Amino acid sequence: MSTDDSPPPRTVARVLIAVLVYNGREFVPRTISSLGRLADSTVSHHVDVVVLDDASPEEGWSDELAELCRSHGLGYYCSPRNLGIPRNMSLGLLLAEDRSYDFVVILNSDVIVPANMVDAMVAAAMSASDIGTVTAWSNASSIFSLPNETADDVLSDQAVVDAVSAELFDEFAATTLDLPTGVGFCLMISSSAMAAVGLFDPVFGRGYCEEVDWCCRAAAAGFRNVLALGTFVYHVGSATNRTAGLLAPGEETVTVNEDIIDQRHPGYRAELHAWTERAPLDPFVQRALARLVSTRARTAGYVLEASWLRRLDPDPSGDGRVRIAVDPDGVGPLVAAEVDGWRSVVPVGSDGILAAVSSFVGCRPDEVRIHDRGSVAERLAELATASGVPVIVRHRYPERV
Amino acid sequence: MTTAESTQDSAPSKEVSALGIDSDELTRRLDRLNLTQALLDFELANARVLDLTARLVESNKRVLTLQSETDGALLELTAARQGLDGARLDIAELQRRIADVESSTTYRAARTLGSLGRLRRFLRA
Repeated sequence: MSTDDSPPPRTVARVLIAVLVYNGREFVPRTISSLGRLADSTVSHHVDVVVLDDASPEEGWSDELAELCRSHGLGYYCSPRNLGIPRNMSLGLLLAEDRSYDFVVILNSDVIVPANMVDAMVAAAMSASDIGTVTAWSNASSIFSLPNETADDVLSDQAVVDAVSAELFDEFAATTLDLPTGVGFCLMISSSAMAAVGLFDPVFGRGYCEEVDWCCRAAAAGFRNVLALGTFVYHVGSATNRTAGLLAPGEETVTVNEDIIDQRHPGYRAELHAWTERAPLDPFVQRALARLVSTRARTAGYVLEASWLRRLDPDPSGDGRVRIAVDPDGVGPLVAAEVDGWRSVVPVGSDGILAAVSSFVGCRPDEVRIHDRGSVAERLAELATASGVPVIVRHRYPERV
Repeated sequence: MTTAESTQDSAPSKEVSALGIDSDELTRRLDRLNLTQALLDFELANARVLDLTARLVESNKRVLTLQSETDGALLELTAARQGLDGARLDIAELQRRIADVESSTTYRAARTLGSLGRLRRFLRA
């Protein structure tokens, strides 16, 4: 019997990240800076980054971008003519094929990537041999998003993105969820899928829906399109398309390209509708939100409040503590918890609110605050006092009008 | 300035990019890939234009055929409608004549006599 408990040799994948840029002076530097950190972080795989500037017309921007890439150790290429998004994406695939990469990540330029992005996405991609594309989870990944109410205020921060993604990887590791299509804002494609499916179709002109077409072709070739639940990429959303002039103000799609999808893949809409009806992402969203909120509450501390106020503003003391609120009269059997725009609900069982919340977070609250009167508020104050949790009573108003 | 310094100053710096090749080589490779693909895209686009043109011509033929058939059917429909209108006029004329006959004194007298004849035969029996 072998006594060697050492893990099997790690498979080091070669990953190319191809960033599509067209103008975007106001948000691209943040993305470049985020990618520059990948080279310094503890990525288990070989990662190269190339920025594909699609002949940005903004005066002097291409020169600035080239210098920015150089200073961050990233590859830079400016196409002599504007290609449009589909052909620029294809250029990324061609470079990956030419340089024998195992995976290529097509990445929008309005994102902040976490330190664990490559490891998490490769782990997801390698979890099954028939996975063709892996989409990163995000606050703005179409109908596959992890909803956040204040994304642009709170999540547009590298440290926050790193922390959120690390939490999700701890919770889900390489778990994937099958999707009807991948989302092009951060789409990892395997070399085997590339070889079987080919390039993005230039029929989609300047862009939109090209990744849907590609993923449908991948599915037809026997590949799965999956979401990597163990990673989180902050995405502004539509900034790239709007900067490229694809979407006019108020528009959400390019109708003519949608029509091509309907004609070429007649079953796609029905599949998408069936997926939406089945809602297989919902349990993962609930788990993720519970994890993010409870972890923060455990590490930063939390305050349990009996309050009518539904909107949970940050703790006015500014100490970063999480606020968890309950209806004072217990009309709703749920407790709402919110931090950094993540909102979770805690089901309350027969043991009562204090026990439910303590179990959810993993520890008792720092204090209980009673802002409004009600039967539950009174019971909560009694239980907290009995448990040695400080109770602060600050009645603001009489009971409901 | 020494020759060595001069050479050092004028030599282009060969920085190694993140892809393990210097930036000039990266540009050359991507230019080649870009140009090659552009030519392939052109060929593909041209093939699609030829295909679409052939289908457009075929569709136009079909449109013309269908248009011709539609025109013929419209003519037949018009003729049939005219025939129907003529028949309606004929029927109206006949109905008018019948009404004239029925309202005439002769018709009403004959009808009365016919009724009296049937009554007499009944009483005899």
